[in-house]
Amino acid sequence: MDDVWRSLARYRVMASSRHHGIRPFQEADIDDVARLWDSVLRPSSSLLTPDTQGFLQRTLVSSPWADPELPSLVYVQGDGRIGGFLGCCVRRMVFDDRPIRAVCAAHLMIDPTARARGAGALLLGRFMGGPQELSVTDTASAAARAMWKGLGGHTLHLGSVGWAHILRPGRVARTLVARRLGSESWLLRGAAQPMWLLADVVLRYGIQTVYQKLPAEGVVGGTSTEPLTATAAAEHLPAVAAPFRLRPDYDAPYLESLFHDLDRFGQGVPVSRLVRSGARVLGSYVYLLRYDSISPVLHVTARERDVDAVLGHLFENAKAHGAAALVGRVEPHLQEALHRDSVFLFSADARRLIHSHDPKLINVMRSADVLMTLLDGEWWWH
Amino acid sequence: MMQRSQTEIGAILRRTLTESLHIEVPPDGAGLISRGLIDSLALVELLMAIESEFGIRPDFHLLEIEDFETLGSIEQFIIKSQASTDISRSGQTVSRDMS
Repeated sequence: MDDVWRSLARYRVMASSRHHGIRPFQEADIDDVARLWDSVLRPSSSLLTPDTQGFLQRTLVSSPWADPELPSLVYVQGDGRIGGFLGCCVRRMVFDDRPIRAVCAAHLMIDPTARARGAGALLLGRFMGGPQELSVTDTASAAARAMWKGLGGHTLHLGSVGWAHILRPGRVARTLVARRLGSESWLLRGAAQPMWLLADVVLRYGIQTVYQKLPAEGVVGGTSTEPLTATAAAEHLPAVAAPFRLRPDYDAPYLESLFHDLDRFGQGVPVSRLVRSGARVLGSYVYLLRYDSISPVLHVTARERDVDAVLGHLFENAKAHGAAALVGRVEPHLQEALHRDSVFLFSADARRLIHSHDPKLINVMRSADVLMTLLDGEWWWH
Repeated sequence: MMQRSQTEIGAILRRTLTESLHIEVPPDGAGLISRGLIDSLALVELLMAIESEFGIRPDFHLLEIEDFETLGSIEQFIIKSQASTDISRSGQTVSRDMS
C-alpha cells in the first residue's frame, strides 16, 4: 500500500512540476525553501538553528508520519522560482476511537514579489481543501487569521490564552527588559545586577505575601517522577489519554523522532518527565528549560483528577532547575487546575486556528474532550 | 441559484470589487493581480463574495491565479463554475432518482 502512495505522490509531483502555480513540496525543493525561509521568515522567527535545511528535512520529509497524500505545498512563480511555501506536519489522532489525520499548517511564507499575486490565499485554500480531517495552526499572523476565517476556519479562543507561573520575578522582569531594550541596555550591565537581585527578593516576597502558597501546591505525597523517554511515552500515554474523545495516536517511531527533534531544534533543554503514584502513571510533562529565563511548557498530559499533581511536579522541577518562569497555553484539560493563585493568565500573541469539514470535530476541539498540546503543534516556535 | 448573464455578472463583480473590497478597478478591468490590486486577503474576500453572490464554492485544486487577472477572466471563471455546479447538481438528482 505504501508503494502505491509513493507512486501516486511521484506522479502528482511530476505532473504538476511542469507548471507554475501550486504543487506538492518535494525533497529537492529543500534548498530553495530554506533560502526563502532565510530571506522571509528568519528575521522574525524564533527558530535559532542555522540548519534550516536539516530542520525542514527532519520535520517534513523524514517524519515517520509524513504522508504523501498530505504534502507540504510550494507556489512556483512564472519564472520557475519557488515564491511561496506552506509546511504540513501530519499528526495522527484518534477521534471517538477511529483514527483520523490532522495536519498542522506551519511556516506560511511568501516571497515579497509574489505576495501581491494572491499566493498565500492559494496555498491556504489548497491546504484547507486537502483530505485531512482536521487542520490546525498555532502561530497565525493577523493576515493569515483573516484568510483562514474567510476560508471557513475558526479561532479557538481558549487556545489563544496563555498561562504563566512566575518563579523568580526579578529575573522575569530582566528577561522582558532584555527583549524590549536589547541585551546591550545599561539596565542589564554588571552594575545593575544587584538591582535585579533585590527586585527578585522584593517581588517574590510580595507575591508570597499576597498568595501565601507559592509554589508547592499540587504536589501529592507518595508521587515520584522518572524520565519520559519515547519508549515510556509510547507505553504509558495511550492509557492516560484514553478518556479524551480526540487525542494523539502516538507510536514509538514517531515519539523517537519527536524527542530527537526536540533535542536538536528545541529552543532550550528539553525536560520530559513521567509522574507516578506507585505503579499508577498520573501523567507527564515536557518543557524547554532556559536557565534564569522564561521556559515554555509544551505538554502536560494527565486525567482530570491528576492534573494538579502533574502541574505541581512540573513547577517544582522548573524551580529546582533554575527557570525564572514557566509559560504555557491554556488547554481544556488544564483549565480547572490552572485556577490556582500562583498562575497568571494572559492573552497570547499567537492564535490557535482550526478547520474541519466535520462539525463534530469542530465541536470537540472547543470542548474539554480534546487532548492536543503544543507538542502536537508548532513546538519549535517557542 | 439563479443564472445571470455575463453582463450582469460583470456589473456585480465591479460593484463588489469597488464597494466591498475597496479596489479601484481599472477601466479595462485588467491587471488585477499583476498590478497588485488583489493580494491574498483580497482574493479570499473576493472568493467569499463570489460564493455568497453566485453560490459557487471554489475548488482550490482547479483554481489558477490567472482566473483573477482581469474582470473578464473572473466572469469566465464564474460562468464555468456555475456550469459545472449545475452538472453536478443534475447528476445528484439522477442518482437520487435511480435509487
